[in-house]
Amino acid sequence: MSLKKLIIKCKKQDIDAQGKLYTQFSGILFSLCLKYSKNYAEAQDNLQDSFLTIFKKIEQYNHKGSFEGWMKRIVINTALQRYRKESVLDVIKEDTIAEKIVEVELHETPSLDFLLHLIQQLPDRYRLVFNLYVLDGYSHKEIAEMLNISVGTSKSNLSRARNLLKDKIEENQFKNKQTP
Amino acid sequence: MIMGNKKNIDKLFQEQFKGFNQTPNHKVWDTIKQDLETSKSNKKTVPFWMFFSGIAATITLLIVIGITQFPSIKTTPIIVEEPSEKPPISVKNKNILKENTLENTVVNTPFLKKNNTPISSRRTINLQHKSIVTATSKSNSEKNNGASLQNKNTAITSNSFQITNTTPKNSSFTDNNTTHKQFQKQNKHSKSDNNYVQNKVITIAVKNNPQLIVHNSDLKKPEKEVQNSLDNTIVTSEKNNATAQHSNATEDPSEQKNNEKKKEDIATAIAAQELKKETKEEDEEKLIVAQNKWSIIPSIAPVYYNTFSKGSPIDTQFANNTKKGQINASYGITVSYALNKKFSIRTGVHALNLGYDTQDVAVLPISSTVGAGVGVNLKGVNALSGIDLNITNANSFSVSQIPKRYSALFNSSLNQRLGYIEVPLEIGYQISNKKININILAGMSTFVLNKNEIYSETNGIESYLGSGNNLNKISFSTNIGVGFKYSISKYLRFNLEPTLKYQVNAFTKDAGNFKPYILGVYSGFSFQF
Repeated sequence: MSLKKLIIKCKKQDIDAQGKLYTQFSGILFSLCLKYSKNYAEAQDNLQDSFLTIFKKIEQYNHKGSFEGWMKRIVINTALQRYRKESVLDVIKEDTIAEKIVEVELHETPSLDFLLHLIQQLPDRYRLVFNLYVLDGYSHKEIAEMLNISVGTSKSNLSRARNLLKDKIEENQFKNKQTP
Repeated sequence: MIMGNKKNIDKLFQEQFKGFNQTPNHKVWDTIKQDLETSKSNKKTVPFWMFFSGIAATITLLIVIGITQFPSIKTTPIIVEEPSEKPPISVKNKNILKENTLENTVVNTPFLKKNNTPISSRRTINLQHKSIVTATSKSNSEKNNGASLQNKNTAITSNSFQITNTTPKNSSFTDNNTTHKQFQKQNKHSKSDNNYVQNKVITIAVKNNPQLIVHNSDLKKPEKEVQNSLDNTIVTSEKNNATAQHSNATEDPSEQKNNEKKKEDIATAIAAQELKKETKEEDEEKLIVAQNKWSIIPSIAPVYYNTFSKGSPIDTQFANNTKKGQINASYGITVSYALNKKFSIRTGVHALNLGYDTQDVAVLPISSTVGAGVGVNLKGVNALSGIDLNITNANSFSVSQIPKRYSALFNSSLNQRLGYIEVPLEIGYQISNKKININILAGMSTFVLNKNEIYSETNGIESYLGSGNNLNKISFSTNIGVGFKYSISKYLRFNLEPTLKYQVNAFTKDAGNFKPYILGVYSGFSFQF
């Protein structure tokens, strides 16, 4: 069955079609949830909420643009709604933080699970900004709009996120070296 | 110290996460499936609920109508023995007066007793009122017997009916008054002794003192039978034993016959006159009753809409936000029918607009490059395509987070505007009928949704977002109110009815714990006819 037919059936709230759509896209969308969430359990909650929204709003999808992209935006939006509420009081002087390239010293490439774990450990805002900017290609301007923050805050958050991640990776590498 | 490779951290993550795909636990799908199925079944169960509530309401109404409309069915059957079988007759009169046309009649025991002896058939008369006398009632006859009736204007009261001998020469018991209702039956019965007996019970309507006249024309021979020619006269015949005549009759049968004819003519003429009067009065009475049965009440009302509980049909994140009810207008027409003095039933058609605002909302635009097609992130809203907004609870932001230039966006509100056609079905119970008539009103309304709009409002400017997706097209409310009526004239009244309508199922179950109510003060002039 083509994706278009599947979508049409989902619009009719056909439970079998909804199941097929879930099977087809749950992996990729769950990965997205894992990156944006604090932990595995919350990632599952976000995935669940996202799919319910997808099935509810699928009527509005007009087959223009990528369906996967449309679903990903819903997933990101769901995550943003959950985490942007948990606000952090930032005292940032705008434009004072220049975008710097952060380099990490690697003896061996860290595993995906480890990197995922590090991302999940980041404070909410840092995690969101890092994911949006580094992994999903949004600009600071866009992130600022999505999170209702200033561009400066977005840049600052990204910088802090990078540094935190760098420290954790290097710390881990040092530990591994100490306990061979 | 071993030196490693220096790597751009962004690139490290991008490379590692490329093609990242992890299958979630199957439990996630189970939960989603369960949720989808429940929301489907919820939609299905509503009509069943509606169906049963509709039946319940109809049954209740029928019972109320039954009780209030037909209270006079409770009757006491009295068996009157008669010579032949006749259909049952309902009598609503208070008293039955026996008129005996026998000249110089002395009512005595043997006669009356004999009157009762040849009874062979039964006749049931349903009587509404307490004092009931029938011409052949044995006990009455016996009591009459003891009274002095001979050629005197003596009132004899026995078993709560009055017999007055007004014309001594005629020795007939005629009534002073006329009665409410009359019934007619003219029967002729031949008995074993070949005597024709004709009894006529003439019931004449009387306004003040309703009585029933029993006219007995007791004839010796069949050919002496006097026919009552008046169509309007109501006559019931009863069996009289011809032998009674011997003890009561005058010496000259021919004279008696003439006298009797004359008397009967007079009696029937009076009866006819009284009947005419009575018919007129009855018609008038009917008119008076009918006058106040129906009333039409065009009304207009300010209606206030709000919720009894927290919760938001727009999105769960706004459950605790302040909701500001709107005052809108409802207008329509109500038709009321008085079932009796106390109860009335009413229905009608009203158009009404309702609205409430969810306050402390941040309405933030999403740039077209980032969020194109994202739409509006509200669960309860089917947003127009092309509108991409991030709408969130402003209470979750601290003031310091909000740049000044955006502060207006964080003081936005979401305004839900609804329109309904309402068909109420209510029962009114009158508790006071003085200068101001006070009624308790209770019932239900059926609402048909005809407007469903959600707007965002920033800086006093409303923008249309879309429609709510969790509203039922047809919903119900339970209504309770107090009606005040002030009579301006016989046909015109001023009505004021503060009414509370609690909407039972305006929103579907997934709309959060939102329990709306409508408070309206309906006012208008009612026209009675």
